[in-house]
Amino acid sequence: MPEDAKNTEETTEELVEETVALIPQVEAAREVLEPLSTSTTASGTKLLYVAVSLDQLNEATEAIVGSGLGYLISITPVDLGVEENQFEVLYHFGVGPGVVTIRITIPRDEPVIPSVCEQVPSATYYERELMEMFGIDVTDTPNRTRLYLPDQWPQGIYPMRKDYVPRSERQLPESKKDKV
Amino acid sequence: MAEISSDNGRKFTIPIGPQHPALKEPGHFEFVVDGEVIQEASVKLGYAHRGIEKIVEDRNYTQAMYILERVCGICSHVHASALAMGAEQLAGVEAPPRARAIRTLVYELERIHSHLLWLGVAAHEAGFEALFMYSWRDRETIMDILEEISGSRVHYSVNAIGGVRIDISAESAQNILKAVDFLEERSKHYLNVVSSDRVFLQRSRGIGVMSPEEGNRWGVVGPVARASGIKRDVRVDAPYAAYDIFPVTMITASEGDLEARFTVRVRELLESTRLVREVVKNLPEGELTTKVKRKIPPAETVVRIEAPRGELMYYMKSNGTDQPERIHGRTPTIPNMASVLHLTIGHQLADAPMILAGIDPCFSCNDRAVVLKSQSHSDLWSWDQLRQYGIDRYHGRT
Repeated sequence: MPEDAKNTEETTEELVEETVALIPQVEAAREVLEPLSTSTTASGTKLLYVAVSLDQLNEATEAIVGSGLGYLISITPVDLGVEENQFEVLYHFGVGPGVVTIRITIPRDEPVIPSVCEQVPSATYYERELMEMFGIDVTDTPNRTRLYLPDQWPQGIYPMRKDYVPRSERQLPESKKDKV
Repeated sequence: MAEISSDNGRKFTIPIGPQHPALKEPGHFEFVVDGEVIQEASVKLGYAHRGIEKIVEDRNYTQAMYILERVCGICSHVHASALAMGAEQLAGVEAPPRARAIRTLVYELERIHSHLLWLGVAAHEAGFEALFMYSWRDRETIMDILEEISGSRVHYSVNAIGGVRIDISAESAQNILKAVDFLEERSKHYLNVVSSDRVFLQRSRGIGVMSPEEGNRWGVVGPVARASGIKRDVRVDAPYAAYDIFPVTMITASEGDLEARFTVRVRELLESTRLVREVVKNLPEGELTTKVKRKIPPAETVVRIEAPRGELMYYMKSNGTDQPERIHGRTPTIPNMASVLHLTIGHQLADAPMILAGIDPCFSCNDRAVVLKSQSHSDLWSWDQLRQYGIDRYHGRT
């Protein structure tokens, strides 16, 4: 739990100030990612978010995994909504006691990202999840079949997107108000 | 059912599941075999996918906590506490020491019950039914304790946002100490059994060997990683809850085979009993909860917890309302599953269930929608019918 986050009034902007000294392992990761990053924010001493451009993703992954600094924990896709028209894809790496997250942002109407399986072979499981749940195309992931969704699930409907409406609610427009 | 693959007349594809060969949970595997030897392996998941990540986007944090608790029916506490800790981090508060110690206590009780459950299932796979019966009998001790302190055997609902809901009375403390004394003796016995029973060792020693290099490459976690000599335990690496006050000794082995996965887990049972005793005897005094505002300012955080099966991670993002913007979980079975399929290649088909069971796979965690294939069957209700039933019942009640 971040020590500096006691005050409930603090907002994110105040938490991300660079003055907080990062723990050594996370600091080392920050240094190797610095030439690749477009912006860096820290939350407390253990969490670091590094934004990189799409074409630097594989290089950034290699910088962390190849050097033995950390391992890929998971890939989190975040739908920023129809208005923002963007997806964020977050690659979380366990780095000692901390977590370094590489953040890439892609347009919602053309969501294509490269695979990181070259660097982390087990990443294909997370990549398949983002392909079927969010419709983000991971171009060169080794296995492109569905992992979680059933075979009869319709093509082109992605259930984790923010604008996804479940079939039950499409049929019963009034029922949403009738919260049970 | 087996089909001949087109390229080589001697290769067969053997589909296993959705009824799983090892556990009573659904997963579909396809093994391509040449004779008895596995050449390729693949998995299809999602049979227990309930869309929980989507559901929680439409609930407040407290509701989300109870829903996340239902991600898993074995390690429910880790999921609920992950949400509670995440919400606390996002809100910038910290649970009181007594609450953190009680969370830690329940983590360890849960680990004991989960490891004993696994020991039974894995023994059953090896054909060792007596060990299965005994370990599940002993597991009841912990289930009774969990029921005594929380009121429930499976979904204990110990957590509240900002602390815990339950306290440990002096009487419960005595009962817990008595239970762990008994389980410690039993665990020592099991350690002896899994490392000396000759028939059992034929099914575990030298089977499914994973080197530390392979383990690192596949990103394995939990007891599977530690059995391959990879020093990875969130309780030690990044202590959360009260693990900074009650430190854990990491249990590792170097062999990386199935036997090592057994001994590591059984030795972890001993470590957990030690920890439970220590926490119960040194429970800090004080409040159980701290106040957390209902609306949480926009922020994001990552929570890591050492679940019985390995590292559990949740990414949480708040948006200034009382509902989370996004919650994403990564359960330990996913990376372990990837590695273990790779491990079965080159082994006899008969070893596959044991190797799969060796990672203690948990499909409900992994999947997180019930899809009913038949629409015509009279016992099946559509979502609309079920929803209408709920509404009618609710109105009928008042």
